[in-house]
Amino acid sequence: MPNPPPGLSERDFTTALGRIEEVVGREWLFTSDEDVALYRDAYSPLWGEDQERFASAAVAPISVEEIQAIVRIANEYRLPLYPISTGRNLTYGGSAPVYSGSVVLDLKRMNRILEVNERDKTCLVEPGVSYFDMYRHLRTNGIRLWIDTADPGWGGLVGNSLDRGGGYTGMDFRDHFDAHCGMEVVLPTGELVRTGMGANPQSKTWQLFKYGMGPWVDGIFSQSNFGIVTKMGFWLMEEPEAALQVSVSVPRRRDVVRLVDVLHSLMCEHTIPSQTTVGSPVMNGSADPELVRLRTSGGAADADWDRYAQAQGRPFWNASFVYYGARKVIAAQWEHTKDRLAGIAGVQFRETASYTFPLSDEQVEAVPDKARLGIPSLNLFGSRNAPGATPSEGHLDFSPMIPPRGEELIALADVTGKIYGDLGLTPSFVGGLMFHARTMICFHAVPTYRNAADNRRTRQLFETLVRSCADNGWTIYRIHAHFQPLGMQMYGFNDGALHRLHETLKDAIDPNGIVSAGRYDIWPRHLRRDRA
Amino acid sequence: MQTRRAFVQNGIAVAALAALPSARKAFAALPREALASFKVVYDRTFSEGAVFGAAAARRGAPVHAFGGDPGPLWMHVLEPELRKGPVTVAGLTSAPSLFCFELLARDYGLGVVYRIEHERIGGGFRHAVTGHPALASWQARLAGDESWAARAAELATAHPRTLAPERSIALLDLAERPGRAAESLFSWMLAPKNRIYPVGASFARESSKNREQSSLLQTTGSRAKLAPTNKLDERERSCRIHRRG
Repeated sequence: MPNPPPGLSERDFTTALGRIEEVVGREWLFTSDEDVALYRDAYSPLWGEDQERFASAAVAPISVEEIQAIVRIANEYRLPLYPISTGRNLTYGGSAPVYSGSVVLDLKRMNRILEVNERDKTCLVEPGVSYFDMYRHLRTNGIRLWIDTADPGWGGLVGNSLDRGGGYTGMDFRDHFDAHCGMEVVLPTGELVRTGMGANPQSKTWQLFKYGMGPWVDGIFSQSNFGIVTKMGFWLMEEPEAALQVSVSVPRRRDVVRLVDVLHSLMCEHTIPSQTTVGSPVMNGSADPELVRLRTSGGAADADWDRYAQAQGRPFWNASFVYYGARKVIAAQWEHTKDRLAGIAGVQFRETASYTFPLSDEQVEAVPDKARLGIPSLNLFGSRNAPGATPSEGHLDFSPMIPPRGEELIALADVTGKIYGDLGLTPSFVGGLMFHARTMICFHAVPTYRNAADNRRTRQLFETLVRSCADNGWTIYRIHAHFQPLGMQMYGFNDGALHRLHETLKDAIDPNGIVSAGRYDIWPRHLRRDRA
Repeated sequence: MQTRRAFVQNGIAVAALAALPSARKAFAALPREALASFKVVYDRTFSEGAVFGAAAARRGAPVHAFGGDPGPLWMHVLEPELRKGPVTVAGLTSAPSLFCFELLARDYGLGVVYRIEHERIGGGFRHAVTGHPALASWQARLAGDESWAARAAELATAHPRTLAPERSIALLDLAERPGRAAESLFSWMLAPKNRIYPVGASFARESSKNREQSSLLQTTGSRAKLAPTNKLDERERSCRIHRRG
């Protein structure tokens, strides 16, 4: 028998687990070290240290009724639960609970695709449905709808959406929480709620209209611990006639200002439909000492950078994106894009891939950039096979949001490059990814290790990045479980009023504090004192 | 509690461990049905992978290649097979691809029987075995053998269903391999543990049934109503697909 969570007697813990076992059956309660170890955070920045977070046990229910029964038992004993869908978002904490000793509520068995409506272009799924499952289902049944997949694609639609993950296709689909429509939630009391139009049992529009009537509450179930989502609807993208993937490169460092202004404008006028990535072939180069010097200087002059880029024979910036739709329309959009960008001296345009749908299996296999066509893959891991690929190891995603402006991208690269340099590290860079309509996210992969000394340095780097970026107005939008208290500190307006509101809601919705204690630094009342 | 750090050191001491009969001999005795729930996979972007795959195919194993990205192979071959029942999988891949297979397969109750790291050193390879003690002799057998990838395929196809996963082997550690992961290849075997996991054996049967129901095309115009109560509606037991009108 595993050790009980803090504050729970061994007797109560054993009794609670015994009653849970009666609900789910012996085979679906996991208490051995070997089984529980499967829920360890594979990329933990605290690996092997006292503060590393562990589950005490795990349980895998198959139905809403089983979840309700487990929740009611948990309330009786104040047993902390930590629901996961697929639990594979390793760079943000994987399936390890925020509060050590929690029992992982593993929802992978609930993996039914309940509905796909080709006419309405919607689906309704359970939390264990992965992007692989959904893609395979659509393809097997010849349904010409696309998912928008996270990358890597082994995650799940519900979990990624609730953590506000993003993808690569059309504007209506790649903000995964924004693309959901209606949910079903087991509240911490065990009561079952359907949101939006789903609150009318006769409704024909649960997956069509988000708001229903009254306050729209769906948002409180994302990045939170106010309930266990058991069903979620999503909008799916109609397969287009064609797609054209293109790239635009510009030669000088300061060209990025005009480049991003125009690209953002084209996105806002719906000429460019896809996620747009702005990267730097120069700054993403190898660990050349001159490059490291420029990157860590905290603000090298444009002229120095441009000389370096010229010597390397590379354009300074490169943007890539995709058009989806009818061929004639795509041709017009691409021409219009070129017209708008033609004023940048030295700009170059390239068509990198062209597709007509549907694709054969062989054509799908050959697509190099699968996520941009809604095809889930593990290509991010495959790309690590190349010699010198980075990251080659575990890592955390550091994800600051910046305005869609080139000068902000330059400033962020300068600030973060100096932070890396000051700590004796080679900077990780930096591309601006326009997942959302009005921001760019600039991911850094911060490596984690299996030894405390290197991980201490990683944690110092990560904390410095978070604080420095917040000071510059570049707040992170999502963060690894260990750093969630730090992340919420950055949202401290009016002495942390937003955080107090979160915990006020927690007290009202989950008075015994049984669901995901500590997630996004929202603690139940009885654990708050320990955290102060 | 869960503080156990279950790592098996590379390079099990050869002398201390017993060796199996030669792979060639063992394979000759292997009944054909023993390979029924067995898959061999390899990454064709490595020349060693192609050698491994060809050798395994010559020995009658069902072989599947992938091109750097293990996702499609998992999605279209391994996961559908695992949903039907237990499968033993052996392969030759990079460390990141093996990491993916281990992490995905453990939800179906598969564990590591062995891993052999084939680390590129200069113009050659150094081999280190982690796993079932009975396999330790392979470290010496592969050393200095230019055809090591074919020998690794012999090992994989010789014992696909005779060895159980080693309980002490944790998920492959990518974190301690900066600069090394890209240089090493791994031959490995994952086999079913005597335990059901979240999407494991008994669920696999149920899921397979659901998938069959899901494939039944429903063309009714209006959408069936979902349960207004906490009780799941029977109509939710299978997926509805509504075709455009």
